[in-house]
Amino acid sequence: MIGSLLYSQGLPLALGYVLLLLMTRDRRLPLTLGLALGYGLGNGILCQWMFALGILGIPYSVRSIGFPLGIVLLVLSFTLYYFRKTARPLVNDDVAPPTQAFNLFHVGGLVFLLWILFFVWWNALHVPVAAWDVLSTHGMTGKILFLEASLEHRRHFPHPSYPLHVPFLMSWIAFNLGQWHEQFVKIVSPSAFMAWLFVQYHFMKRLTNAGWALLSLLFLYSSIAFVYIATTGYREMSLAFYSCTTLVLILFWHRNRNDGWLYLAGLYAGFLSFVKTEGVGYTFTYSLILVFLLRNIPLSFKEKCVRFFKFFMPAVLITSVYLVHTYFTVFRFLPKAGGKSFRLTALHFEFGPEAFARVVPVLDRISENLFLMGNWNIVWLIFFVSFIVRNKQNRPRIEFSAMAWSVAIIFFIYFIGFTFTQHHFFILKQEVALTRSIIQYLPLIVMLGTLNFYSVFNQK
Amino acid sequence: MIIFYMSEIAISGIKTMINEFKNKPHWIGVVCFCITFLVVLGFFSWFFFTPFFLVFRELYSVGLKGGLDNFLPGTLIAININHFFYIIIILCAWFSVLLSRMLSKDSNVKNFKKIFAVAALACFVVSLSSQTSALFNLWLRRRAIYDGLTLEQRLHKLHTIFYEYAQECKRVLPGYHKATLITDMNMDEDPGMYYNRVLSYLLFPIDIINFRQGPQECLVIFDKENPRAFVPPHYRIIFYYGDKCLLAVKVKGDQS
Repeated sequence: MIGSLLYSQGLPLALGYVLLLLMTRDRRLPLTLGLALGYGLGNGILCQWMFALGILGIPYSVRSIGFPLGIVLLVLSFTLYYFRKTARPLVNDDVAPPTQAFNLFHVGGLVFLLWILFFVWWNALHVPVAAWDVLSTHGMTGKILFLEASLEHRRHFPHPSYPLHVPFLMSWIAFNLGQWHEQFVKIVSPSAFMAWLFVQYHFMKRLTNAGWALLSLLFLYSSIAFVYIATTGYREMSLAFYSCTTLVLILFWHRNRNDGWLYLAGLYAGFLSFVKTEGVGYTFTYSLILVFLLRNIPLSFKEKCVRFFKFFMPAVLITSVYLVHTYFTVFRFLPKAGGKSFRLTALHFEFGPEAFARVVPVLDRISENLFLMGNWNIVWLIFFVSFIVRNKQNRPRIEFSAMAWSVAIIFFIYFIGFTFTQHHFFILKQEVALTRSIIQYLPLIVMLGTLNFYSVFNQK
Repeated sequence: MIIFYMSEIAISGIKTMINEFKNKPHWIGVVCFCITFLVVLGFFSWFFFTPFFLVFRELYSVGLKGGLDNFLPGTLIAININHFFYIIIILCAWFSVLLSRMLSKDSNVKNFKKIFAVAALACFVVSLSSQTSALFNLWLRRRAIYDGLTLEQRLHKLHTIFYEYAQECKRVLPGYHKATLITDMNMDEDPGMYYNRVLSYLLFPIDIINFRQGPQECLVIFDKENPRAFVPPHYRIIFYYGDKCLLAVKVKGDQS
């Protein structure tokens, strides 16, 4: 069983890693960063492949899914071997980050990180599936995909319009194990959790140094809600990983202008919409950020457009295939909902006095969640303190602005959604959506806070 | 004489320390936090008539309550623990202003920022250690429940009769079967809403979520008073589970 489990994780990982090396041709890519990005890329491709098989009506099995991917992996490996001899990094990366002596803080931080990783993996692999959404939506869908081995009855899936990334990954694990294993199918979220750890560490290390990168991870993992959700099998962890990594990849591109990162960011943005419907909003946000970044780059208009579409096309292609399929297999068959009726899959905006009366209660709920609940430790206060003590001159300007604007846009979208649509129900009547929506962009918050603190101690 | 010499040494030591600290606002930040932390802890101890060490111990025995959608805040002597840290950080800010003025008149703001930043980070470290101890306690509790059990035993522990009933149904009726659920549980609100999901999930491929179109093949009667009364004549009961649960299948050849 362990062999099958390793194969189920190893095949997409290897595929993603090899493809990543081919796309970026970056020889100095740290192994852990490469594997983390390869994990996301490989699993995204695996899910798109399973989706394509489902559309074509080919039954799912380890062979039908894994064999073609194995062939692709072999071909890519040979190609990589050939290109490694001839290719050079397209543009040199920024200067190497300053090295730092290993001190007591590093030891303490590492011990803490190891403990958190242990807790997440232990809990994920010892407690069977029990969380509400896993049982009712993606876990159930994954089980159906495994037992039915097709997408034939998609419109009768529980919440059929929901994207299929996580159910596909769960069923892929089950196909390999030959059974629906109530614990092992959950490894999707701890894997994403660990992958994000490496991405954040390397990204922050490039901007600051190892110590500050470590501190940013401590900030993130001090939030119990973020850590705990990684043990349950919820989709938020995958969404947070794909979402934040998309922005990080855009910023990697901005630093070294290697267009491979841009294609990769486009693919990640596409996978993002395949994890959760909110992904479309994130893709829109990051497209705006890319436009802002392109404005300040000395390129002709045509070249800027080309760069933009290198990101936008893969994202839109993946998203639109999913949306078109969903329209023809799900939405077309749904009965038309009335103006006031509650439906999860459609947004009903209302801007009357009743809706505006919700502004204060919604803000109240948000501030209560951020500052008075036990979800985030004192991270949000520390975040605001970081803005008091910051030194504007001493922080990476572009990266900071991109992340800050992303957070602002995402927060704005959520605020509008929670106030002026029927989704206010999930904030004011039930407290189920707020924490999970914050988890999705929490990594950006902690990175912003860390950069602010870094600016205080790194005064030139 | 000895006292005079000792006090001379002590005063010169303090002077040296202050001179040293002038160049190291990081350490002033740490001292600022430590003093504030002890003062606030002492105030809590005095105000709530609780021994100092008990307040300190409670800081590291905070439990984690809630989960997934919201973790409830831990309490320190019946007060939200977040408030405790917020008070410390606000006092640290004020203290940092004082200390930065004492240090030098030229670069107040620069010193204040450094001192306050270090004090806030030190506060974060204490808060982190408190939460880590809570997480460790959670792990110990989970370990006591789940360690050493097989997957089946863990599922049984978690989903109790739902798991037992679903396993028995799947044993006597293997494969896909379209079924109808009859129950007294209120499935429009919790906990019935959650139990309905648990049962649907555990029962599948016995399908009570209407996944495929077609005629009903069996009746899943769960948590229903007098369940036999709800079995139509053309159905045959294939097993009972307790007094309130059973599984019935349609008799072959009956098209009604």
